[in-house]
Amino acid sequence: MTTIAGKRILVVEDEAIIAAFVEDLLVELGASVVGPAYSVSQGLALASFSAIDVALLDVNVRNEAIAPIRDELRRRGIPIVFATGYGQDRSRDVTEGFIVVDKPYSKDRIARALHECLLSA
Amino acid sequence: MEGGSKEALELRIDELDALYQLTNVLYRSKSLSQILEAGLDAIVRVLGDRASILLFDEAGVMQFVAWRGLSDAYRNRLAGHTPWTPGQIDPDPIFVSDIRDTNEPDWIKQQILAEGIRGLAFIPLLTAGTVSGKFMSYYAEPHIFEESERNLALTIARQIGFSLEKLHAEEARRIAEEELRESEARFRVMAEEAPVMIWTSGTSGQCLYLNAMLREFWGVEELEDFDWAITMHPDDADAITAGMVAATQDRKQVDIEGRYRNAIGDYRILRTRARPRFSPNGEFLGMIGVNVDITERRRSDEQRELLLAELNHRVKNTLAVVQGIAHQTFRNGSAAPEARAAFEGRLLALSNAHSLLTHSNWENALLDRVAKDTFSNQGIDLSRVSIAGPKVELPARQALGLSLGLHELCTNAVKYGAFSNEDGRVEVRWRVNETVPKSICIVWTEAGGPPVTPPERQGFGSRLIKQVLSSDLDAEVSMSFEPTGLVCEIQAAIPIVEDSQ
Repeated sequence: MTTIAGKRILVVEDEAIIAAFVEDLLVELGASVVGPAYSVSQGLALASFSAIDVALLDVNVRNEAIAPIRDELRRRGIPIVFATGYGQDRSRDVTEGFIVVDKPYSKDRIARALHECLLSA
Repeated sequence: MEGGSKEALELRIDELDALYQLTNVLYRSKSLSQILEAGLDAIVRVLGDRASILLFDEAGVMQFVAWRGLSDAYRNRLAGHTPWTPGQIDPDPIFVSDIRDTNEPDWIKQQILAEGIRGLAFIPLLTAGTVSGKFMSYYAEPHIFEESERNLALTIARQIGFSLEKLHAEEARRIAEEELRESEARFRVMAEEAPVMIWTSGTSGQCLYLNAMLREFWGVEELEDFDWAITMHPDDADAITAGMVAATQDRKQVDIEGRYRNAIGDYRILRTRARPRFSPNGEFLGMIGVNVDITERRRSDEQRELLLAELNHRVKNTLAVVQGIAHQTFRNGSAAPEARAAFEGRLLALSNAHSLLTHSNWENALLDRVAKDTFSNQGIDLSRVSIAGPKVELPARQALGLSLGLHELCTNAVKYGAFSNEDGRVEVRWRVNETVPKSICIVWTEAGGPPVTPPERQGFGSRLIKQVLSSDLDAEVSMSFEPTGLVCEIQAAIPIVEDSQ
């Protein structure tokens, strides 16, 4: 998974404990984390102004729509992986066309999804 | 009757005329009394000058129904007197030249003589081949019945019988028609007032009938001004029309859903089930259909799905939080990496089983699916696995338990068993035992792994396998460490969901 090493990854996740876990996983994979952002507005600010190679976005952040962050990243041409506990069908209108990884995370799953995403970007 | 004499010839002509008159009147007769009168006319004209017609009543008693020249007393005394029984097949007529010469009981002879009768003829009336009555011809003097008279009498009887038969058939048909009309009227009322929407269409799909509920739904007063096509939702119209046209053309049943605008302008989802209608002689008449408004049901289904998805998301999120907590707790080397991995694996197995059940609304999960997911979630190449067994749906609790159990078996195989080298294989097979209640036997067989020796102590893995399976699946678990690989047999009594139609 050499493609992940050294990459700057934006993490948007409203649960601090999950965010910390994801951060550790990504660091273990050799990446550096932008954020984590705990809200949509925080995430949007980072998405607009930070240097980012790829983003890992929770679909539901404090019941706010994630779409603005998605659209901003898309505008900048930054690839996105979505994380969801809804299963693939439920969040399709948000995640259509993106790689989706199921919660809870596993290092494997995250690494695979990010790798795939970076390759296809 | 001397052949050739002028008198005899005139008599013949008169007889022929009488028969002609009889058939002519009978042919046009519409009622019993017309038939009886015409019959009596003919009898008194060509046979004795007094006559009567008697028919069996419903109780099987021969009753006078028409007569000429008989006293009330005579009829009252002799009603019911008959040589035949109802339904008797084609009996012979009886001709009595002189009542004095017969063996009839005295009181009957007295009665007949008192009426001034000496000669009599009993001619059976047949309908559908059996006796339904008779006609009598009476003579004041003893009478020799010539062959021609006998034939004449039988001819008249046949004509009367045939007319009676025709009358009965017409009566039966009239009753049947009346019953049919009544049953049609009853059906019309039922269809009209039924608390479902009922319609019929013609051969080209045009609307022919809407019951009260449908007329109310669409606000229809005059069917002629109504076109149901314009009430269809624009997005659904093509599919509905295509379905109905195909069903009408192919004369097949159809089951179709779509949105229709009702009288107050709301769109409602109607489920339509229709089938072709045929006339009694098989001619296609169009369709008859029932519409059911499933809007509310659909709405509550969607709501339930939404709630389930939300619940699933929260559970998953909570599992992710638990995962995070465990990670934080054990991060500084306070637990072995394998322990962390095992924990995470179990958490993921639980989460996956959860997803599987969410997809089926937490009702049940296919055993086949549970097994496949176990392997693919651990990244096992499915070409190293063979999964086989009849279609079985597991209730939620059993599916969760089996999922965890199989996960442990799989983890164990990765560490020590068939998946710990490059070419080991695992086989999962099951069969349903037709016991009451049904039970299922699942066998996990490993092969091609490194040589197996039974473990010295029971690890958490095998304890979990046994405990989870025996409590959640009400199963008996036996694990045997064969030299070729682990064999785990799970005997579970589970309420198997029968294949529903």
